[in-house]
Amino acid sequence: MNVIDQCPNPVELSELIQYELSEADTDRVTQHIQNCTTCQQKLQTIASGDVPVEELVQELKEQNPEGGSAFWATIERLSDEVRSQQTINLPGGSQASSADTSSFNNAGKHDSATPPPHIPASTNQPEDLSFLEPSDDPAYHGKLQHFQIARVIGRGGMGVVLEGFDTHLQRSVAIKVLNAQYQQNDLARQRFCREGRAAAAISHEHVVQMFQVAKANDDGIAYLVMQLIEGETLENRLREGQSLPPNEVARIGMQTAAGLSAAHKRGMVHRDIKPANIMIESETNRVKLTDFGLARTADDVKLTKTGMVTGTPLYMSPEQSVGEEADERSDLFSLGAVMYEMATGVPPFQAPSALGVMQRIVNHHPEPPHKINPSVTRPLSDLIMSLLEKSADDRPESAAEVATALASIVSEYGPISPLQVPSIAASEVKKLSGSYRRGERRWAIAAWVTAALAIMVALASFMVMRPDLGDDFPSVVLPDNPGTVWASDFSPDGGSIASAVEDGSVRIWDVGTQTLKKSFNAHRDLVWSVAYHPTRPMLMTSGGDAMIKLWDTKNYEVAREWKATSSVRGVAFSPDGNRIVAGDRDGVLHVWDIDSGDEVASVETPGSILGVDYSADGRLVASVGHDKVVRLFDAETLEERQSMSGHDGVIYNVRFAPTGPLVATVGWNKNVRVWNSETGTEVLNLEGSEGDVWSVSFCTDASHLITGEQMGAARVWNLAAGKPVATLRGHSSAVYNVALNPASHHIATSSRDGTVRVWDMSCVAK
Amino acid sequence: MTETPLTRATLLLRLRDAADSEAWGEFLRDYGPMLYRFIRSRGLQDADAADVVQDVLRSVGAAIGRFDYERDKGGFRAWLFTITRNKLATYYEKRIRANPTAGDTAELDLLNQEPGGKDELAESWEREHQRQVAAKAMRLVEPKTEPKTWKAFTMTAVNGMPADEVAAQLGMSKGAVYVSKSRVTAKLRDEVNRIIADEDAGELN
Repeated sequence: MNVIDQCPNPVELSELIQYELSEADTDRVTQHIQNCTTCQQKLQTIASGDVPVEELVQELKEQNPEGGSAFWATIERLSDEVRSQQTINLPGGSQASSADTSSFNNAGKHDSATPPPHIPASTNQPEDLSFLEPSDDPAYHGKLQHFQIARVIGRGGMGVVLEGFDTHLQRSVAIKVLNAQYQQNDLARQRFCREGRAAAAISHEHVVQMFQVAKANDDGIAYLVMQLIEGETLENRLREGQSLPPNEVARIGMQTAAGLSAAHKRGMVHRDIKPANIMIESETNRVKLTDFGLARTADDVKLTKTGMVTGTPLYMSPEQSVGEEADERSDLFSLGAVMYEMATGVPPFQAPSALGVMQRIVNHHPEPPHKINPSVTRPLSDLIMSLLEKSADDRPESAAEVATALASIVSEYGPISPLQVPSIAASEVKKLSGSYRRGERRWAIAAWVTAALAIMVALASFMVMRPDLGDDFPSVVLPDNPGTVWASDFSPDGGSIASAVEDGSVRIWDVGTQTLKKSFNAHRDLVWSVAYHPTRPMLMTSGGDAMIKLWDTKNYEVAREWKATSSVRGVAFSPDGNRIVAGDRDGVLHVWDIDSGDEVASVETPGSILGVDYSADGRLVASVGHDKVVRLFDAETLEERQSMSGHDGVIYNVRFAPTGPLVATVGWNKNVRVWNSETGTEVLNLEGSEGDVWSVSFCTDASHLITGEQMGAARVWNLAAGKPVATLRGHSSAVYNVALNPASHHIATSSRDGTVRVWDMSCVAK
Repeated sequence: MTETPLTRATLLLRLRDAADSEAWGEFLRDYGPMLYRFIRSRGLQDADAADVVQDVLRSVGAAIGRFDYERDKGGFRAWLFTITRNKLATYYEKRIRANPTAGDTAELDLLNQEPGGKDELAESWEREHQRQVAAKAMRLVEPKTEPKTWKAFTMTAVNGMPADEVAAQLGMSKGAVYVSKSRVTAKLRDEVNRIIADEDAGELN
């Protein structure tokens, strides 16, 4: 007994743990421990040593995220991506991009499509990226000014294309850097910058958007920043030498022609249309035309004097082959050659040498596609052959015309959705009515008539078939704002859009020509809101600097300004335009008279104010914000008239109907609610949004509501039916504001992605 | 079943091969929950935390080929910490831009502090790391332990049951329960230390 009562020494305890004691000793010490709490603790302390094992394992019960956590979906997605990546990699091993001049080979796949990707470029071909500065984020290769460089996408004839992350605008971009040997070459550099300027002038859904032409300040490296396209090149699709289905040939041809028409409209010739320059976006299957490296304004002939052979021979036009000037119709020839290859699987002019190819382009008449591939219809085959006419005069006259003709061919393959019909400026289409092409015209006239009918039929059937009109209305993009666009508004005549940008500037766009008319610094902090005066030539802005400013739209000088106590997100004009209401972050609501500048009333509310509005009769003012309550005030006295609860989170925006007593509010957690301002009751709680809802607007007759969502969609709701009727997709990031053109059925959406989109909704209206 | 260290390529090396989905599976299983917990502990909601986890893991995938043990002195763990902290900072920057609050700004300031010091962030990271390693150690130790001994450990240490109750259930003496618990504890300690040492030596098994 005495033996058992005696506490073992630490060495013995340690040996017990390590199974080093004899059986007898083990029994003895074990028996002792049974009743000696001191030794129980000592034993455990020795066993744990420097690791708090017990604490750690106790927490293991909550080691894994809960079953319902979004974490699991994320892990599953990442695992799937890894698996799919595996199958892609198996056959070929490295996915080195082709050695041609494409700038976008395999550009696909960044974020949403990419598994933890390997970086073939960094291992297979050592890339000279010495111009990059080291990045402070090890997840990146390095950085170029404020762009973090994630990987090499591809290699072009003149430079390398990188995937980068713009840390200022928080978006992924493609960056094209001119090769080092060309950086010293004036001609190459000139041409490179020309690419940037040329493409920057084009804003079209089928053209890769150019954001900026830049120069790294220290060593003067020139680079272009453009939209990152997730997808593949047409060249990749054609790699197997297989023809594409004829409807795809027509669709890709149509969208390419539409993109070309946007360039031609600005007097620019692409000059290098080839499969490697035609990107196909993986998510939408949309065509995006890229690499305006050789594009140049038609009236600029300087570069041709150099004798440099430009363009890829396989798709070159006869006039380019013999060194003559290329014009718009040369691009059409190249488009014809590309379509020929899509339709038959082989390029129309092949020879062992570049010179041989060029000779054939001039002399050889290829077999029509329908004879090589019987599934190609006669109209499609005829159109391709008309594009391949040796004489430019015999080809269709414009890219817009070709796009229209192809639309009719596409529709023969089945109903088409509006998303497939590219937007061609109305002015372009009108031009068609007079002349088609100078040669044989019968097909074109017939095609135009069928096209018009076919599109109408297709649109009609599409609308009947799907209650939700679909995800891809054509829209016009006002690109390249230097940051998030927090708000936009149509001028009363609908001809201009003013946009409020994160960098403190306000930009004025011409809607018709999609050109930037004016850009000025409005606030010292970001600009939260912008609104046109209903009658006078004035624009109101408010910003993070607590200022509210009225601008004269004739010269964009400040006509009047007020200072609130803190950042002002919500402002609105009274319907008669004599007053403004503003709500600030401290929850103070102000009403000012714009003529005298005097404050009419002010009131404090609980929580920050994010949105305000005036009722159509001017008698009420509404405010919403952090406290989740919709408050209505007397517009004269700011006495509270109603407070309406129901939102389960912050309310972002409030809007009165243009007629009647309704008022709509939107906010966190997909909330879209409509209230009766007279009774203070909730009328509708609309369901179907994705994520938080930022902005709301009524259409002019108060029958529909338009909302802008966190996930990047804008949604049109039919209030009578209480349902969404259309979803406008196109923005890559949150839609912070929706605005209506009072004069027509246009909606402007502004987004975190730095763009404003203008949507023509006349088809929904009636 | 029995892999020797010699025949088994380290996970870190295997991760460089994007086609090794098994290696990625292991990595996601081991590091995913840890990243998630750490990010949640910085005050993010579930969905936001899952997004940031995804950003971090994608960045790791994109950058693992460039992770250089010789150069990145702090080792893999410190490297992962840097990426995570950067992604969190990006998240807070965006949030502050959209809607500035004092809490977010303070959090961002914390994230932007010079790394290295014994700050709250690094401590919390180390803690989550230890938990992750402990979970792994348990997976490794269990098959090497006599089942009754293992049970005695989990019932007392993990589930917090009193020793005499465990003793009754398992048909062993109370003293034997304490001894079993200490023996498994010691094995786990050794395993945790081994895993951390391997990581520090650049071997992510």
